[in-house]
Amino acid sequence: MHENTPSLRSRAKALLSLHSWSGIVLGMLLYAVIFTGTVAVVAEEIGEWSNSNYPQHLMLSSDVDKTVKRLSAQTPKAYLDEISVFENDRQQLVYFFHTHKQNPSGDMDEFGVQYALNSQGVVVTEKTGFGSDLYAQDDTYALSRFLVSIHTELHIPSPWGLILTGILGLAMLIASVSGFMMHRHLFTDMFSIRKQRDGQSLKRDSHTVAGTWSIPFAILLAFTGSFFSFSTAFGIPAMGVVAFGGDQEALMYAMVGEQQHKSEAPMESANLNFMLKDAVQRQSAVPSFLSISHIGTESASVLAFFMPNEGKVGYEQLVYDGTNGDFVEYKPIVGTEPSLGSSILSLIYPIHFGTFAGLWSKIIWISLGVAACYVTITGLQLYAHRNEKNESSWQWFSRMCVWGFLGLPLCSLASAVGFFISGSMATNQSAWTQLSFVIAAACISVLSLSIKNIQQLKKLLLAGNGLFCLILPLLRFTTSGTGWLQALQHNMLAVMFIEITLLFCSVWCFFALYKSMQFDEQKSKQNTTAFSTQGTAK
Amino acid sequence: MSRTSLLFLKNRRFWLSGPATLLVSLVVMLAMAVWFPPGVGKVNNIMMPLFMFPLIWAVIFFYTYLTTNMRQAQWLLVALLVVNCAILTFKFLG
Repeated sequence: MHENTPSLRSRAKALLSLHSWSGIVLGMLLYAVIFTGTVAVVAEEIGEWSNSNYPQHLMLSSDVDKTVKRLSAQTPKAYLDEISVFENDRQQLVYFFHTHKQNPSGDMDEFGVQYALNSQGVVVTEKTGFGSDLYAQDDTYALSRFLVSIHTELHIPSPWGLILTGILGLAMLIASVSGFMMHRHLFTDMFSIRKQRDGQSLKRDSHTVAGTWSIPFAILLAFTGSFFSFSTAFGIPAMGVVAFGGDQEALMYAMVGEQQHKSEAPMESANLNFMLKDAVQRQSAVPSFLSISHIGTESASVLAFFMPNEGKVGYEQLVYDGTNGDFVEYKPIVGTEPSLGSSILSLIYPIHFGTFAGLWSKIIWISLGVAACYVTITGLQLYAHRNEKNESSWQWFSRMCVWGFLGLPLCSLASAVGFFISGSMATNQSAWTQLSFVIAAACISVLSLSIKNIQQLKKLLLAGNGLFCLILPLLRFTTSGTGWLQALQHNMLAVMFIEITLLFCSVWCFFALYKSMQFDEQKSKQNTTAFSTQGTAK
Repeated sequence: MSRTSLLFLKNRRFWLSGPATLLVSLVVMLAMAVWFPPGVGKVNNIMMPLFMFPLIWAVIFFYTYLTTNMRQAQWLLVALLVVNCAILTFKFLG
């Protein structure tokens, strides 16, 4: 930023400086968010894989109406305001009878009793507490929840983690927009790896090519990601202060689209199974969850929530009148009537999570996420190399790059190992998943500081990643007893997908290790030849 | 931390593109909740400013960072801040 010479200030130079600094200052954190975001695209699949599960559509095979009536009779009346029903990743149907009240952090939360029932309708667990706490302590989602939480909050307490990831989203927006504006030959740059180039020049070309291809994706994700972070951290409450004079309850009702004061006069509710059957027929799919409000009263209603269906991009919510079972409407994601805000929101979710075309869109999103990781890695490596040339004190930066780029995937894999081992020992999986990550991070940090040769460190971490990718499918098999044949028989797509990806990653790690060793061998041969030539000349 | 690494703090463009841009974008977002039409769903005035916040921030940021006329950029930010603060004041006190 050269303020004193504005007329001479070249726009291209300014953009290059902005592009470099936005990447360098927050590069490592940005890599952490992009990498875990790429993993988070398949969070649902990771949840199913880690539990060796496949959706059993228990909502269709069990009698929801009868179960709700049975559980309602044994639940305190205060928690009958709303009942959420969903199938978890351990082949159980979860019924959460709850009301709404402020949690100890001061946020509006769900509070009540949660029952988990097996496929025979027997209550397996019964827990009372706030919805956020019950979810945070649920071992079923320990692995996927932990990985997603790195992406959304970097495990920093709320709202600071969200604010930081929001700022990282803006940094990504700067880096990608300035990268786009810098290109003078955008289409040429998409294919401009020159054959005769190698080493750092090749890396520069690869950075440009991968960056050019992923620019639209990076802009979209940076924009939607910063929207999610900022709106959750402070945007929605701040809007509540301005639009509703600080009445958070009124804001919640405007967003959820429910009447503030409902009649509690007793009235028998219609059969839930009929409404469920109708919703399944209308959408040709099983709902992700059911939300039953004010059951047994005049204002009873049922909402069935569906993930994007075949040929559709956004989520769908079907509302039924709980008193007579009639279909009422397709409810927008926010508000009571279809609106621009609701339409944009229903597009932002699938765009950010890549859920708009099932597993295929997720694979594309993962590939683009890997490209974005590569751009961040090569960008920082180029900067490290440039500075290393001038000052040897900049070696720490290259070391940090290896530590972060190869260390984070290894720590994530270690957390999965911790999840499986703690599960087989029937200990707290939520705690051990986190602890395994921390232990791995500490070990990698010690190794990064103690191994002097950076290439050696890189090889060691590559080997570690390859080995863990190979171990995980075996570990899952030994702990669950579900093999590939059984997975194929039961059409366990998520399990197969994650394990094939892990094996692919393992092969890639060992191939990279082999190439790196081959390169070192060639280099040492060249050095020997040079020495012997020098000796002969003497 | 060396002295040279803190030199950016003396740069006017840093303050304009950094904290000032963030403050103005926040105030514009909040004021939008007052003047943006809520629509039939009565949520557009809440959702649209939230969607547009990263966009508003990016436009102001790139403008203040790339402009050669710093004075003009400075006055534009002041004008945006004053107008939007006036809207918010009118909403709360009017």
